[in-house]
Amino acid sequence: MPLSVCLTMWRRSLKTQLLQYDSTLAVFGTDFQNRIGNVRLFVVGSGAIGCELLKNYAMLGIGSGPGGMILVTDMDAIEKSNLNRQFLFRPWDVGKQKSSTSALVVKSMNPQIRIMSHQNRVGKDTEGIYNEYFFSRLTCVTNALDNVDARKYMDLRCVYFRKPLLESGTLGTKGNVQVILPNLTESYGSSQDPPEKSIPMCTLKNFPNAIEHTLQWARDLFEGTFTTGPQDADSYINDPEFMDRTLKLPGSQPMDILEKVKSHLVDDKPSSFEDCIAWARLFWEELFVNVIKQLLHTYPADTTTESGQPFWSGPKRLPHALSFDYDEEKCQEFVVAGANLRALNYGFKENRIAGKIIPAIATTTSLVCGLVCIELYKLVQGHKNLERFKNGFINLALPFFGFSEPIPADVHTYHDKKWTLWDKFEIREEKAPTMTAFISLFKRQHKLDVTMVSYGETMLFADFMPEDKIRERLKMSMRDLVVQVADDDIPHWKRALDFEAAAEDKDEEDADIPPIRYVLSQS
Amino acid sequence: MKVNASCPTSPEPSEKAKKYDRQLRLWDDHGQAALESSHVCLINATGAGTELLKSLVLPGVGNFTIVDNKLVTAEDLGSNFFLNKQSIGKNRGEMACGLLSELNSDVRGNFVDDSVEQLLVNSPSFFDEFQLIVANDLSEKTICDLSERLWASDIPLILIKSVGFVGYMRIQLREHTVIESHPDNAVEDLRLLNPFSELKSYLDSIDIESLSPQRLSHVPFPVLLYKHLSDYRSHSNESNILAPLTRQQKREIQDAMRKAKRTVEDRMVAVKNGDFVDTNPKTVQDAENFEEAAKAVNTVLGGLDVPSEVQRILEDCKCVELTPESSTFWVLCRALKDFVAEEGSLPVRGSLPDMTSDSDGYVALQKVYRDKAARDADVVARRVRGLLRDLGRNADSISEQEVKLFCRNSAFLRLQRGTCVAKEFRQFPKLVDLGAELESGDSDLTFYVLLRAMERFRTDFGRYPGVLDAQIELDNMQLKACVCKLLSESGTPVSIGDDYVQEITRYGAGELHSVAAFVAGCAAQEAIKLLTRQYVPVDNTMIYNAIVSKCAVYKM
Repeated sequence: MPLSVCLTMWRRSLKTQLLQYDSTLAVFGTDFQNRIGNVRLFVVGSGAIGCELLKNYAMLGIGSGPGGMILVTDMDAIEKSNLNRQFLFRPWDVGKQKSSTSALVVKSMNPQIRIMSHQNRVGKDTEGIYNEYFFSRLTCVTNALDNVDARKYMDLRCVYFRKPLLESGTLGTKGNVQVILPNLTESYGSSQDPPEKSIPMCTLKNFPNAIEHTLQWARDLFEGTFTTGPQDADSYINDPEFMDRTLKLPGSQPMDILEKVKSHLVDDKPSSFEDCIAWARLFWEELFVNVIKQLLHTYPADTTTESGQPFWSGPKRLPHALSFDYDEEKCQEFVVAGANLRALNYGFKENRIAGKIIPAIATTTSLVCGLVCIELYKLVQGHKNLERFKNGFINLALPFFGFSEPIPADVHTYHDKKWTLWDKFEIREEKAPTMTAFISLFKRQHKLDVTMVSYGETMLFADFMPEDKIRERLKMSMRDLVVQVADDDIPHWKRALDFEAAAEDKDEEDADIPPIRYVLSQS
Repeated sequence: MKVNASCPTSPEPSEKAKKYDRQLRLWDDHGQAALESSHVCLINATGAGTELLKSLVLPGVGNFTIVDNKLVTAEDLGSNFFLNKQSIGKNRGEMACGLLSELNSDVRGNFVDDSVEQLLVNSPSFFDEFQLIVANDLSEKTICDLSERLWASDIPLILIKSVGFVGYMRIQLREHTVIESHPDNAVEDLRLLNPFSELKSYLDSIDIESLSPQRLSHVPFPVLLYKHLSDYRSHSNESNILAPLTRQQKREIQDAMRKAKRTVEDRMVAVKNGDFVDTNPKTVQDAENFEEAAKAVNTVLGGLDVPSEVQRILEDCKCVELTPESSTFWVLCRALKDFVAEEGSLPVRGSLPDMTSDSDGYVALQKVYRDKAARDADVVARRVRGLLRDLGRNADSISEQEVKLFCRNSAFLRLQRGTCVAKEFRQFPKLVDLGAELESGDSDLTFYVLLRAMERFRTDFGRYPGVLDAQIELDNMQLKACVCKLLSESGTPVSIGDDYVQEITRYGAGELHSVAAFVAGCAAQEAIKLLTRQYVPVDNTMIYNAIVSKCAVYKM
């Protein structure tokens, strides 16, 4: 790109008297500073990246104007191991909420910043709060997350509401920044990292040779012992189809599951804490002594026994499933202890790792967030030209710095219409209140023969359904179909329903069509 | 969850280990200890400077001292997070020191309200107590004086600069040696082409012909490769296959491994109901170890030679001619050199990669490598003690632990020799590609020249270009003149476009927080590399261009 183009995009307007944002003013001009002030940002997460971003925003004066604001949400409390890089927190903040603490600090550094904090996890449960109205007022979303699932979720929401998303992450000395722009780029979910290489089962069970293996082993053990085991026991009692379902499983699975159920409900059912201690001690013996002894003498043999007796007797005191939580010290200790003990079994180096924890340092975060802000500048300036934006990949250890243009969204076509993941059919409820009207609207306006309509996982209409069912469904309103057939409620804040359809084009070929946004009438 | 006080719990990791948990995974306890015993000096508490210190204070650098005699202005607040309204009018170093110290109670922060110029004249030994100096916002002359002073004392210097959309970092060091360079894709050290005697006799003792297919599918892949190689030797006329293997030879071995994999799998299916029952149906079918063998051909059957980078170190005169003052690194290198001369190869690393295997086979093979690594390290340690005695030093002054770490990393040793900034600044570097790069139009060297011109401007006029509104046009012309002068001094017959010059002038030396954060993040990581002596530092100049998002490294 010729430099002159860039220069005009950041042409300085005038230099005013000394102010807080003087350097920014010098480089961007007052008009831009006003624009920055009126930005409305959603910062998802207040960990390492969150702290760093919020500091940068405070320095830039983002959200300090009359129309601006920053909302930061994070459900976590501050932990000791956060303090080596989450620099808005102090030792005396340990245990406090991350989001409210960071908002307070930022506000004290720059009192003009309009910042609010939530303690919400982003997800299905909070869609009533982070709803269409909320998103419609945002300039941009900046992710500061530490897991792929939440990233994918925010990505879907941003695509759905057509909002720009600045995505970033670090792993040790490695970091990346991705710019996701409505109607232009692909989304976070469009390109996937290759799945993590899984460790072969037999390595995990019998032949570990690295700390990662014993860690994975300990996690699996925890899952099986404290989560799925009790769940199965619960299902055995309360779910009449549990036995049928279990017996249909392949291989030795039915027996494994049923033995665990028996262990939970009969053999090892504790009635006091003393029982628990005894169990834990025996469990230890089993895991770290007996299993190993056996392994060393014989090859692992299938210990199938014939047993069809009812397991259940006595009062129905049920164990309940714990969900694994690394913030819970006991869980952490189990894994740490388990992993280290297992490592001792096999004579390799112990480690203090407690699970799938990735290294993290302040330097990478600082740099990555600097890059996020550079992209935010461009976004606020309203550039629509892809080559102005840059995704970044860095590794400070080497060091390596790579920048590339964001990848444009894939273009799909039906008839002669082009569309991308950012596009949807928009249909208003009053134009197509029933399935019949819905289908004929597609025929009329888009020359598409709808063959199937679904809502989430539920099929509402398909041309291969029995005729009487088709007749019944065609008569129903779209609202009723969602409530009665898909068994979903339509909360008051919901402005639209999302449908997917399959359709045939003019040549009776399957058409590749975007999803449907069905705008509800506000009555 | 109920906590029972009488319940025994596992020993708690120390508070420090908890706090630094995430970074210990990168540089381990001894790296952390090096960091914690370091004293770093920051000259001028600018936005970039304090951001850099922040990234050193958080991971727990021992001490820092800020040298700054300026007073905090309103403008500082726009780019410096570690200053607030109450700081205005007070000493900038003192204010930043206070807020930075809050980040980590393990770190001791100090400030000196003085100028570097004064310190260099009045108390030149002031700088000797630091392990690293980071400097920014200095005049060209002061940079040269400081750089020469530090060059003489062999103290590393990092210069940083963040102006508008341009970032710069320059590392000055005389000599930097790294034992733990943490290479990204290190080749495993398995010695299969030229096995040491214990390995050879162990591998020869395994009879894979008699194994059932199930057992065969759990033989560690190095055994398979070794067996194949010895078969090949006995069947062909070449009694010795030596590295490097030809591409043809490698492909033949890979094909043979994949063919053997299918054979074994077929045999397993045939005897599925025989003597072997595996509860995991997947493992019954796969002889994954043969595939691992095929994949490993290109990596583990590589050369036996000492890597060229290490060879250069062993031939260095500092290695050949030890003195009583030689550093631990060079004593170790000399012992390594003698070891290589005697044994013909580097010490065995002693690690075995993850692989499909039964545990007996894996543990036994691992033991062969480990024992040999321990023996090799012993030999090196004996040589080290001998060398130390010959030098008249305490024979135990280098611990066995250090020798072991060194031997484990002997294939990854790194040596960097730097250049003095004063020399670079006094004689514009004769960059071979400067002309060509500048002519191509969008080289980041353009910004190198412009930043140098900015400094020249400051030397000539006592201020940076563009800071006074009324003078912008004039500054622009003057800056252009500085650029031309620099380019003609360097004998580069090209010019730099007016738009670039204007861009620099319009920044008015303003610091943009995001660019400062980027530069500071990079520089802090480099500082950690220098202080922990782990990982390989940038050699020696980095230029970041945020206008188009480009970052390049040059050796000046």
